[in-house]
Amino acid sequence: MTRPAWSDPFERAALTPVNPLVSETLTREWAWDGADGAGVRVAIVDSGIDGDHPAVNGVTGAVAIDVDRDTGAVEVTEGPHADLFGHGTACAGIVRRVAPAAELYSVRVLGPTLKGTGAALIAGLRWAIDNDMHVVNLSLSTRSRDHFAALHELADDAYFRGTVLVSAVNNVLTDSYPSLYSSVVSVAASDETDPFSIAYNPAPPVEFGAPGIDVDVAWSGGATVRSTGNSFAAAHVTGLVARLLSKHPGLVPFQVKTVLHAIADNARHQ
Amino acid sequence: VDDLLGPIVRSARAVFDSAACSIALLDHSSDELIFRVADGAGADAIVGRRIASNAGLAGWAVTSGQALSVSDLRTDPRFARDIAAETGYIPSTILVAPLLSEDDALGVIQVLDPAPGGPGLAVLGGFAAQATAVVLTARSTAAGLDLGADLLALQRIGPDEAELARAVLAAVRTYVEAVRAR
Repeated sequence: MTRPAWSDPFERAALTPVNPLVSETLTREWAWDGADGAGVRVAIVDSGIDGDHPAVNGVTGAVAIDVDRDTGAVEVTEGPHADLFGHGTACAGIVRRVAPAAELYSVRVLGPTLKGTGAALIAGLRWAIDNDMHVVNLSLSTRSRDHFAALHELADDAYFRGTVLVSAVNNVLTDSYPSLYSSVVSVAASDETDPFSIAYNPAPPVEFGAPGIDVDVAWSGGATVRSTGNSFAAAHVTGLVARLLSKHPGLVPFQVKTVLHAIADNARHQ
Repeated sequence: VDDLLGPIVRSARAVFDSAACSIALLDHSSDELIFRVADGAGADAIVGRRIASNAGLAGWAVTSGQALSVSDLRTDPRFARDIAAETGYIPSTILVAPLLSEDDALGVIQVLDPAPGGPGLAVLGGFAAQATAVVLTARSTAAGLDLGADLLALQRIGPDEAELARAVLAAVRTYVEAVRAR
């Protein structure tokens, strides 16, 4: 089993029990039973989405963010686009599996050139917040301190506007943003395979664990591969949040975190 | 720089008990990844090859700055055809990690078909950090330190993953501090 970095606290034998918010109301049944993600707008900020992949079954909208390599100017192009790598399609397929009726929006920030990926990430996140996405799946992050303040401001903006940012921590041991901000739902891979599994880490920065090791995922060219990465754990949590919000519209980010904490696998009352 | 990157791929291949390991560096002028060193299956065929910087898993790593593990690749006919055409070897599993310097990726390290139950992506990230240190040092100074010997010594470390990760990071830290002190 190949483990990504940051996933050790979620290893089954290492998982530390946590004290849940004791409530007869906050159960998994209350959270999402009977829900399917309908009415929830989910942005996948990634490499694009292949909407024709059977595991994705269409996207509601798509926008490509490109940064001019000479001027640094940001260009936003709405309309269908390809997934250049397969990773965004993989994440979309996972979200679709957990929340089949969610409205998926592809926000492609990894374009055909390498320049300005940090700027594209910021612009893509800005687009998602401005366009009233309910949940944003961020498999990407940046190590650049130059982007720290701008991303922090965006994360706070999302928090106050009620947009839930689900951010995968890096797959190697390095600090990256926005995954380490307290306002986001940070996620690493757990050992579990049940797509509805979620665990809470009482020793953050990474707060939640979900399936992300040897996950069967959709890939480019209509393929399916088995892959490991904290990205896929984040996509699972994005799907769970979409289900939760479709059943309980209007929950704000701290309420969403509270529910996820209360129903975690390692909460003592489970 | 290739003389110093060579021990890294040999060490990584040994530590992961894998079929092959390679490092490709980014050529900004052409937006291509150029395979500089490799060890194991298909090594002779892959060294010197150029691929688009946005191609495949290597392209994903260098573009996104994210490591990744992908298996069952043989189910992807497009992937299998491309790799077979280049090296004659079709892996089932690939681990890939970018060589990260601040916000830019300098290149990518790939491990093909690692033995099951081996080290995780954090250890591969350690080797990637070593390679990054080598590339940055080569570019910033002509000073030569014997990092290669330190890397080869890693092969004598036992299978404990945490110990290995600490040793890898310590070697990089020592090397970088020594370079800075010169």
